[in-house]
Amino acid sequence: MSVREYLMPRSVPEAIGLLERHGQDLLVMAGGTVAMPLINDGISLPERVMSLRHAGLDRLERQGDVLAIGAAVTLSQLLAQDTVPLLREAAAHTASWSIRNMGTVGGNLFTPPPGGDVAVALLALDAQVRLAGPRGERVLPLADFFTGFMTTGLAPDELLVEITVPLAARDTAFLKLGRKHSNTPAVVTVAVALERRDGRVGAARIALGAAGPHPIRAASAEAALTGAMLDAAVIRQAAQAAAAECQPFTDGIATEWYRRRMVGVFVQRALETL
Amino acid sequence: MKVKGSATLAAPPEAVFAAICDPGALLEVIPGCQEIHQVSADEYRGRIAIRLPAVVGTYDTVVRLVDTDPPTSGELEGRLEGRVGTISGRATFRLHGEGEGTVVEYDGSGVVGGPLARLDSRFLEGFARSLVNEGLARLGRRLQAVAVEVAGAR
Repeated sequence: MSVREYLMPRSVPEAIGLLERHGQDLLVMAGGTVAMPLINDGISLPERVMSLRHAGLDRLERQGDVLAIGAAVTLSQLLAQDTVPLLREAAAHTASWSIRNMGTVGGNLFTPPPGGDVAVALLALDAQVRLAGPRGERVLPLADFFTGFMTTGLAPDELLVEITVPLAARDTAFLKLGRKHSNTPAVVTVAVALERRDGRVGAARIALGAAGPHPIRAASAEAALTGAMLDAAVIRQAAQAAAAECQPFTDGIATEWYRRRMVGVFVQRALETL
Repeated sequence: MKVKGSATLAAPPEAVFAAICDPGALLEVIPGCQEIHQVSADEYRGRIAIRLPAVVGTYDTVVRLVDTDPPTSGELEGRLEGRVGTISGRATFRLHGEGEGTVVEYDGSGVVGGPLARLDSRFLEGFARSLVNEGLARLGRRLQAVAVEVAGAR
C-alpha cells in the first residue's frame, strides 16, 4: 500500500483547494468501489487519496423541474427515490447491495464498460453534469462529458459535483442483459426515453452500455423513431439501426458479434414495452 | 489480453508503413508517448505514460520489428515495464491498398505480469483498445496532414 495520506474534505471548496494543491498526485474517489480494489491489489499506487463522501455532495432532491443528484449520492439512495423510475430501475440492476450502499452516482460515470449502468440511464434522460473548479462552475450535457475509454471532459483541476435530470413527461424503459440474473457486468444495457407528441414519437433518446468505449447514444435509431408512429416496423428499423451503429467489443463477458446482436434484440424489446 | 481489429487510413500503404517505422511519427502517434529512440535497425526504446485513472504511471518500453515485408505486413514484439507490472506482447499487422487509402488489419496479444495482472480485464483490454484506436486515429490525421503538405509543396 502506497497511500500516505487520506484526505476527507467537508465541503466542495475545500475539496477543490486540495485538488489544486496536490494536482495529479491525488486520487479522487467517492464510494471507492472501483478505486479501493485497485489500491489494495497494488495496481494503483497513489500517495494521496481524497474521498468525497463527506464533502456535502450526498443530496438528492427535486429542484423545480429537475432532479438534482449530488455526485456522492449512493446507488442505494437512487434506488429509494421514485421521482424518476428509470433511475431506480438502473440502480436496481447495478452490482450488489453492498456495492450500491458504497458506490455513487458520480462514480458510476467513471466506471469503465461493461460497468456504468446508471450512466446509461442518465444519458437516455438527457442529464447534465455540473463541474466545479478553481475558476468556478460549468455545466455540460452528459453526452459531451464522455470523451473516450475512461476519459471525460473533466479538467485535471475540476470535480464532478452534481448531475441534474430534467423531469419531462416521457415513457422510459431499461433493460440489461447479463450472464446471470443480478450482480453481473453487462453483455449490453439499453435505456430508452421517448417523449410523445400527438400519438407520435416527439423526441427519442436511446442510450447503450457495453456497446462502445463509454455509454453512447444510438443516433440513427433515434432518428428512425423521431416523428414516427411507434409500430412494429418502425421498432424493427430502429433496432437494426442501433445494432449497426454501436461499437461493441469482445471481453470475458461476451464477443463483439454477440453484443451487436443483443443490442438489436434489446433495443427492440425495450421499445416494445412502451 | 487480445486486441484485434482493422482501420482505414487515407494514405497509400507505403506511407503508412514508413510512418510505423519512423520514431518521430511514433512519438506523435502513440498516445502518452514521451520519448522514443531507434536503437538499431529494428529496435525502438521509449517511455509511455499511461493516464488510465488510478493506474497513472510511466512505462519503459522496448519494441522490436521482428518480421517485416514492406509495405504489406509486419510483426512487432514489445515489452512495457512500470512500477506496477509488465506487459509483453506481439502483434502482427497487414496493410493493403484500397482505392487511395490503406486498410490496416492488426491482431495482437499480450501477457501481463506483476500486480497489474490482477487488474480486471475490462480495464486492460478496454485501455489497450482505446490506445490502438486513438493511435490509429492520430496516424490517420498525421498522414493526412503530410499529404496536404506534400500537395502544397508541389
